Amino acid sequence: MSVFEISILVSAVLMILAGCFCIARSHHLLRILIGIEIAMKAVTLLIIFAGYVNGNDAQAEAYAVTAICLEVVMMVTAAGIAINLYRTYGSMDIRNLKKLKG
Amino acid sequence: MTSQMIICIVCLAVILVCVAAAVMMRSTFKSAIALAVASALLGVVMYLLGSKWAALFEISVCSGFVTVIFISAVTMTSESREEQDEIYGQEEHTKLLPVLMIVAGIAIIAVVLLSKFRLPYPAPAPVRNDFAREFWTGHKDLLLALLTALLAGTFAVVVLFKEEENKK
Repeated sequence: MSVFEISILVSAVLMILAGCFCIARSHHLLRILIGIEIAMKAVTLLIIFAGYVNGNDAQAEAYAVTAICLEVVMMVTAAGIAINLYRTYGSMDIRNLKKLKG
Repeated sequence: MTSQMIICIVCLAVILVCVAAAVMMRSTFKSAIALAVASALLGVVMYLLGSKWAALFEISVCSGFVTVIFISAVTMTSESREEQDEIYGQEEHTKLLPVLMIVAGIAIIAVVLLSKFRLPYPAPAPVRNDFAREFWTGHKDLLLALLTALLAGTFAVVVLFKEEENKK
């Protein structure tokens, strides 16, 4: 493997690690969303890299664009939930989600 | 190594710094900005890897739209520093992250180099390099999933805002 390929793979793995660390260590909903976003970026990078390696750029690009769109839908919905959580409980602590009913 | 590859590696290094900063910063606003910078640089990396449309989406949507959503959410839910310290202060030990990332990075590089790991390069398949044709006609299941997700997202946003109107 070349230095270039190793750097992309290592970067993607480290981004997933940072995202998982953020998700695991925080109870703040927006911080958890940031962690998910970071991990999703790493996955998108890996999809593009897979296309670059096997020469099928267009297919990888189609998957990456789909992943980006799904990421945005997820973020918008989660941000709406976060805002409603704050309006209901006055904090972004996800432990308050256990109290939600209905 | 070409100049494009060097730019790519530099961008990846800056992305890792921005990601670590986004996780470690106490201010959510600054975290969102760091994430936007990481997104923009990831778009540059995608462009250099030959995926122009994905790069366009990454820069415009992830670096632009998602950052606007994050900053709006942060502005609408601003907690004071004292409140944050009280609720989350004892729980977040994010100073470990850089050490963890450096150790993990060295470990991965060592494993890759020592095991002489090689990427499984497949035999060249019939490649369709036209993104538009691949996206619109090659994967109708993807389009269906995307459309469903967009409708679900729209429905979720409408429901959330409707609930807010009822409260008023």
